[in-house]
Amino acid sequence: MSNNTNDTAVLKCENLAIAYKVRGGEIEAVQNVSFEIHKGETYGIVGESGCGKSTAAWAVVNFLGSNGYVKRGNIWFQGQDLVNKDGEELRKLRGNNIAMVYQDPMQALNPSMVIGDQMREVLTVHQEISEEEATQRCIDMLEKVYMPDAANVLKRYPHQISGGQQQRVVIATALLINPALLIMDEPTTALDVTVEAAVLDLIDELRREFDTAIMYITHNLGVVARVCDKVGVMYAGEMVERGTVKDIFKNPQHPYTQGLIRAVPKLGANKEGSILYPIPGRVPAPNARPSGCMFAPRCDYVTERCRTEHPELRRVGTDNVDVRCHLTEEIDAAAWVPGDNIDVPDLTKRNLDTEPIMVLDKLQKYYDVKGSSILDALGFGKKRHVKAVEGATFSVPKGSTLGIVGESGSGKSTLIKTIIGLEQATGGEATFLNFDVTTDLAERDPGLIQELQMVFQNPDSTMNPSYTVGQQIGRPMERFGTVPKDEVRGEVMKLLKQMRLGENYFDRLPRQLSGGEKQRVGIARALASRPDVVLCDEPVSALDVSVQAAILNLLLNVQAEHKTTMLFIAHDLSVVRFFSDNIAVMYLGEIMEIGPSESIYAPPYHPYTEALLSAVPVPDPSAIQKHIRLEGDIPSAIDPPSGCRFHTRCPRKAMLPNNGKICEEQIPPWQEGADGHKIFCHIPIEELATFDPVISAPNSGVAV
Amino acid sequence: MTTETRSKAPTVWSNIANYLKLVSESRIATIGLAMVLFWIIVGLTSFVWTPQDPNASLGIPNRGIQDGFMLGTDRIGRDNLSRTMAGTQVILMKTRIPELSVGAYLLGIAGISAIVLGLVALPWASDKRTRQKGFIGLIIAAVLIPIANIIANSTGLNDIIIPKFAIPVGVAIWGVAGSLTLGSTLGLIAGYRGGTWDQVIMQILDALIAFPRIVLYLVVITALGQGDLVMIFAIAVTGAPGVARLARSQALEIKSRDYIRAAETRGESIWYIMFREILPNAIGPLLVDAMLRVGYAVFTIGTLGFLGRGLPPPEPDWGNMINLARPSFGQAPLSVLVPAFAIVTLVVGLNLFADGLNEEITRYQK
Repeated sequence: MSNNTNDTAVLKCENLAIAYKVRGGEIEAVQNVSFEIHKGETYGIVGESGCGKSTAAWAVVNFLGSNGYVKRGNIWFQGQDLVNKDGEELRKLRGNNIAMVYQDPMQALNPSMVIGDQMREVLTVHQEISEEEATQRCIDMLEKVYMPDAANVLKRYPHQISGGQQQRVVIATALLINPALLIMDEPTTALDVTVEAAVLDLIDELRREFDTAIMYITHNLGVVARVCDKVGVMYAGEMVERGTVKDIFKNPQHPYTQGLIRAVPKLGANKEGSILYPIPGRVPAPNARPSGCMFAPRCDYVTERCRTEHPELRRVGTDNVDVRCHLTEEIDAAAWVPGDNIDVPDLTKRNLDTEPIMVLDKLQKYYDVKGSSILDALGFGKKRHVKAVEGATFSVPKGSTLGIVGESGSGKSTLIKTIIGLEQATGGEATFLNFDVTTDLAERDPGLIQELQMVFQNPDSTMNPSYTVGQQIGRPMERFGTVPKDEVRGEVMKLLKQMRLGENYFDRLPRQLSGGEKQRVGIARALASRPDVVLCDEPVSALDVSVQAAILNLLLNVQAEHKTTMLFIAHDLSVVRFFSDNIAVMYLGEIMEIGPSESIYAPPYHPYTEALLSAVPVPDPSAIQKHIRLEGDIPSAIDPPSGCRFHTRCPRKAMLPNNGKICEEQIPPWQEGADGHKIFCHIPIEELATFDPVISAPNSGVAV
Repeated sequence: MTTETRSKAPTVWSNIANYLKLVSESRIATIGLAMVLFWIIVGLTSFVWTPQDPNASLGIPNRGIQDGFMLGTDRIGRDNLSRTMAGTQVILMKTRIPELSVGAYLLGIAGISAIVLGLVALPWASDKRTRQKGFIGLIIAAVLIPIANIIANSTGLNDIIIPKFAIPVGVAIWGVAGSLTLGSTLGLIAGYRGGTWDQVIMQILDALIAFPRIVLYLVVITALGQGDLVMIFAIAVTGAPGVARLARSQALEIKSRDYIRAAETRGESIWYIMFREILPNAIGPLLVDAMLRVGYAVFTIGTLGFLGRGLPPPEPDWGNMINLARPSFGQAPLSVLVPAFAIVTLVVGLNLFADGLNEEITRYQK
């Protein structure tokens, strides 16, 4: 390897422009991108989807496909120009010095090969290493990434280990060649927050140990704040701002960066106390970019000069920040006022009823598990169940929002599927108004079906691609007869207007809409039958932050106007906190803590809630966060742990006598705090109340 | 995607225009379409004009190219060119309904109604809410044919004869349309409903696939006799399992989408979900597959004609022409080669068209 000192960059991109050849011409996906990454440094690249983050990374490893190529500029890797290298030379260089980690570990690992073979291959292909030595090095590396039982993991197939462990294997594989540059493309986006936190810790630790340069691509500002030293913000294929993480979060210069930060709910912010401001408009398509500043059509400060003259990246002020903006010196972010085109929910009209609209009492959902033995086939086998939801008890006041949080596998989706009737409850009681909602849809009265509607997670599959927007919103009205046939069109138009979509959307097909627009249509469809309750299953988690803010505002408006009751699932704790009046925290099918949202995010915490909160990436590099990491994986829901289901991973178990023997033997009591705040734990609530807040941010003064 | 362009709701014509645009973008599909169109034009022309009367022996038998017989004559002196042109008719252009009694018509209508009613009732029967309605429908479907039989026998309907006539569109296309209807309904139920319904339906269809196809054809034709309608029935039944498998896999994929959940939470009937929510999104691959199946059907008709079990005379069919000319191949090779060329170009044309279209469709899906 070449003799790098700390000042020569491991990777240096200069005025990089990448183009794709398409029918009828060429599209410049990325242009004017310059940055350098030094040894032992993590460089974050952030931006919304479609801004060219991944394309820039692929250019470094020459994965642009047959129709993509580097049009202008240079990529220097350890002093060598990568752009003009031919295939074989590049392959060697890449194999020995550059490694990449992708978003979905299940797609990065070959499902038909044992992990050991996949890892060893990395070593044996590029280097002369014997099988035994390669195996040993794989084991060592897996141990470095804290993989339990490393030697045995090598003999397993990818599906036999959990998602977090898979990502550890991918990272370990990437580190095996001791790369000078590690490219990570959203490596934690598909993971749960607790797993994400552990992986981020790991990345940070490994960078220090191996002195690797890391290029870290993500859309999550919180993650950037946690792991990156420097950051480059990309917009519409260009780098619009770059600098150290501290400077950029403290004092963002570019209006786009400012907008991004304003669009994210702070952990601990609520809808009464703060407002999310979406960035109006959307990222222009690569073939429809403006000639002046890319951000001009969406910018609040736009002048004539911005529209005609393309700004260059330039150093401003005393900070080490480069900005691509004509007006940086004139913009004062603190004096910003929202433009007229942003609609901010008006929550003043809201007064909450205390009368519950929906009451659940020990609702339970078990799935039968089919065994594979002969006895099972004959029907004599022991009956086993996946205990997806157990003893869910709560009531939801009319017009309020209940947020449900928990990791994947916690049963939050099953719970709302049971309420809406896609699944039939296997025990307990649930009533909505005076209807019994433990039955499945086929047995429900149309009047009940009409009152419970759902908003779905994935904007790409929420709409039927074969029908127009108008047809899809109109269908529930026709089906339930809420609106006379000849007035359906007018009613749909009204809803479209309420969703801030123009009348010309009526005849559009889903493929002509953006993700945020599709989600708006999904919400309109759910509201079309005028339901009392809308269940939202991660409605914003697939959206970019600025779109997310707009959708959240829209939902708040809808709620204020129609007094709709909402059940809101999200894995993003800041979003849930912002959006909900009450929150239930679920773990392995059981509710662990429930209460008004402010009480959930402050002591007394349930130990699980505490761990969740300490794992959330906070978009503030100066925030001080408690460090609690859960050990191991979520246990199987077929044989959940006895007593308290959380006891196998509980970091506070030791506080009780006999190292928490009681947690293993007895089901915990519901302890009541103030305002209906309830905690499902053996540790006395007075003791839980003595814990320190998880996050303290000296800058904003917010303590959570 | 720009906001100022006001888009229109899709109509049948705009859909066809879209498909034509797709076709024009693929060279393979364009070539295929040209080959198919060529035979369609030839077939249409043959109704009004052929160089000679295709069924009359006008020339010297087994001669090559000669004056008035551009592609030679067959063993009894009929014009090869005219016969090949007319051979397009039974495959693509017309279906001949033979001389039948009113009673036989009654039975036929009862049979078709039973199948249609059964196909409509089957989804209902597999739905919890409409189960009763579905089973009643199935029972009615099951007794339709016996009732029609009793009516036909007890009255004088069997003695009233309706003369033969032809209906538009050829045997290959009707056959494929039949297997598409039968197969996609069964496949959609199996895929969307799952569980026991899936197992029973697919196992029956798999048993059907396990038969060698040509044996299945011969069994049906031997049992029911030669004829255009029997051929349609044979093609429809043997094609259905393949269509059903494709429809099932499409349904399995599409049913996991959120818009299906949305339809379920609206309390839509299973029939609505299967045919209005799933089918429109599965129809592309099914149609491409159907195009290929028309090719197979042409091939099958040719094969059966070659075996002497194809479409009944007097209208020529390509397979039969080859079979009859086979013994004199040495003397008059054109009598074999011309219809063979016809089969090959039509089948290859359909294949190219379907493949090209499929490639274009999938390219824009992701």
